[in-house]
Amino acid sequence: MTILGISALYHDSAAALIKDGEVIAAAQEERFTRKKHDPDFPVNAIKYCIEEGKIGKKDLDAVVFYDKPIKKFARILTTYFSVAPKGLRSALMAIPVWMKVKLWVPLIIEDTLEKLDIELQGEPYFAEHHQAHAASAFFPSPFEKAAILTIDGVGEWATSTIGKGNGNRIEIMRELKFPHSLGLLYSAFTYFTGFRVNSGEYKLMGLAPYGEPRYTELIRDKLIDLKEDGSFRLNLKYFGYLDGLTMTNRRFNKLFDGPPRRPESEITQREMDLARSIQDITEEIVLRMAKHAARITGEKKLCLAGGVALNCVANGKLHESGVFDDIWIQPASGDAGGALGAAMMLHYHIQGNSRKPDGIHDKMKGSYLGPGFSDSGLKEFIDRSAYPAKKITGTDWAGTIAGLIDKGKVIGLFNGRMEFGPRALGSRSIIGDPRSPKMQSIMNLKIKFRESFRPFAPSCLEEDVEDYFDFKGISPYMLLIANVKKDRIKNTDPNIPLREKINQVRSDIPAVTHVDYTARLQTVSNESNPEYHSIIKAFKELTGYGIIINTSFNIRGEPIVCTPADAYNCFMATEMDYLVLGPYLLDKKEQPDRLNKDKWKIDQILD
Amino acid sequence: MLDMKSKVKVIIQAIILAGITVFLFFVLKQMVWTIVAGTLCLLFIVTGFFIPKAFKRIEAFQKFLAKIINLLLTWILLTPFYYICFTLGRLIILLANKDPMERRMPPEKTSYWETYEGNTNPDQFTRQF
Amino acid sequence: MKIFKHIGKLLRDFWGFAWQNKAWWMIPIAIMLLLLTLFIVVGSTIAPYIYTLF
Repeated sequence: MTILGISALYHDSAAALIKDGEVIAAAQEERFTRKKHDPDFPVNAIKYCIEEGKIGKKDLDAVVFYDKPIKKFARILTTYFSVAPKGLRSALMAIPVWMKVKLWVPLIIEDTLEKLDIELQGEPYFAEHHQAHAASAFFPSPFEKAAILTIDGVGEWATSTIGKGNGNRIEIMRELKFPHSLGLLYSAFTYFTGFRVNSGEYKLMGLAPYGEPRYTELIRDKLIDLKEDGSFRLNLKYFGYLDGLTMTNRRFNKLFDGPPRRPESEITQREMDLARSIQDITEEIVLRMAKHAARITGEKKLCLAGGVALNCVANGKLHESGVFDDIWIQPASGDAGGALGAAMMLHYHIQGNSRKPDGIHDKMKGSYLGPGFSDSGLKEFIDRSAYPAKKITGTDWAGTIAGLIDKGKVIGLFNGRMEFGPRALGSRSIIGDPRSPKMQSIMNLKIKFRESFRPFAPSCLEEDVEDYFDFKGISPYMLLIANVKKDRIKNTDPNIPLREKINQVRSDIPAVTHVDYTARLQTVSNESNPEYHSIIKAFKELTGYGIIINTSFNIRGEPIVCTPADAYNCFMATEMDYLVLGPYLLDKKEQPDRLNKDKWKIDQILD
Repeated sequence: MLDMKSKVKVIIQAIILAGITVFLFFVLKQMVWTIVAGTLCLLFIVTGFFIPKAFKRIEAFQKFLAKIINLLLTWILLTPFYYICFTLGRLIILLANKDPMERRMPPEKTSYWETYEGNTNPDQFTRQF
Repeated sequence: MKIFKHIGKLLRDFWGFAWQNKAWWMIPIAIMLLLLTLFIVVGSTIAPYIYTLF
């Protein structure tokens, strides 16, 4: 049974293919179209999945879409019914798109498959948005039974759900409904602090440790009525998303000392304090919801998904709290993961196929589910343009790369299949030395061209994680934060201004230690990515440190690279020193046209 | 040179315009408009078959124009529809003392969790609602 | 004709939705909006001719 899952037309479109329950391929459309968070119907991602799965004309048994268009449309109309005569501008933008595109999903699916010469057997299926999220959290998890918590902006009506999974079935028990949404609340603050909604949430989270929570009381008093069990209602007097085109309104400005920060203008203490305050509130809500989920399901394990589950700080706190014995978080927790969830919903829940998790391993294959390129394919790419490259094989490969990291070089690592989900996990990564005090600002300013406050994440040998962090367990998908071990921390003065705080040497791995002495952790095992593991291991043999910096292979505002050509272009557009294309090592100093900056310029969309 | 598909398009447009020209001349007897339509018809044929570059320009302009008219039409049609239909709807909802957005926060409530309304029966997955 | 099949499917699902949720208000609005769309779509294809004439 071959099933294609699709998520599309909102943000971060994606496609996923499963065959008899095994995930064959999954990828986000943005990687192919090079348009960050591309919401268009994922024609390219579908094409890739079909090719990867070697699907013949009559081989596709079912297509599942990740939401219910008519239900969502009814919610949007209902919203206008509750705000009219306000809301016209929003309606003028939304309704035509619905009439022309979003209500015609079956037609679009049929057309797309026709173009790919695939005959769909039967009609497409539609899963609810939060069912798809819940399915993406539970079915690939290693657990036989678990509580399921999904939290995001909004799907049809639900904004958060609590449910439980057992074997091949999931049952959703409780829901919070639009417009009362934790995802939208967080996005409102993202907008207000001058970042882009649906992509700047990460920055807000990264900014939080620089601030003081001096707005939390105000938020509790005015914006939100939060109950003990994590449920809440928002005071919609202060928000603009029901009747306008912005997340917050004038009343909100009055409450928080002035208008929203203009994008790209200087970040002040107010934004940092706002970030910290909303982050604290978010963590508390997530924790309370999780406790409630534990109470009503009686389960000891938890599966998490939905956009808010990408908030690794909140996840880390939840992990630390011990409310659940074990937590599994879908690596593609945002809407992209809905494609995979929708397909799995059909395979397990609807068709009733058996599911036999082993309690330890998940079914995500390390999330390495995107396009991969064979050595011969890479050689062809290199030869075509006659780029100077050196082939390294065997144990030399990891050793050479580790040696370069030790010398303070910044390396673009392109190896194996591309990751599914927003994090780079060693296949499309930029790696460097975490011991270097200058590395954070070098990488931010010269490689990623982004704000210098943003922290970098470490990739750490799974077996060595306790040497560096107060952390037990695994974090293969970089979705948890952990505290850097006390004996590694260097005492620093808390009263110095932000600009200097960034450049403080906070520990013996300063480049991956955030200002609050935490790190967004990826643990790497020999099992899920042996090659990446071997690099870190070689680095350890050389330096004694089984840990390196890992940041996504892209520049700011660009999707993570997908093909060798994307990677080479990004390599040339930045001050990266080396590029690893599978077994091939490319030295920047030897590349032709390296001084011709215009040739390699990448169009940046400010995110 | 234009491809076959574009040529067919040229011919169709020319035929329509020729029809309009005839209609204007014989039925409406509008001399000025007849000349306008006739000229356009000739323009299509001449550029379409002999000056493809110019024809492409005309086509692009047509598309741009269509977009603008489309946008205006949407606004002109949708604005009154929105005000009449949705405002009226809101009045009815207000009179019924309901709020589908549940914006109130009754102090006696201890939880806002609701029992999940949807269902996960297999047959509901074939529908778009 | 593919498009008629899909219009039929859409209307059927709108009807099903209204029936299930007793949301009868949905039907006239959906039909009105679909008709509007027809105008808009037709508008975009005949727009050049409208321009040439008026």
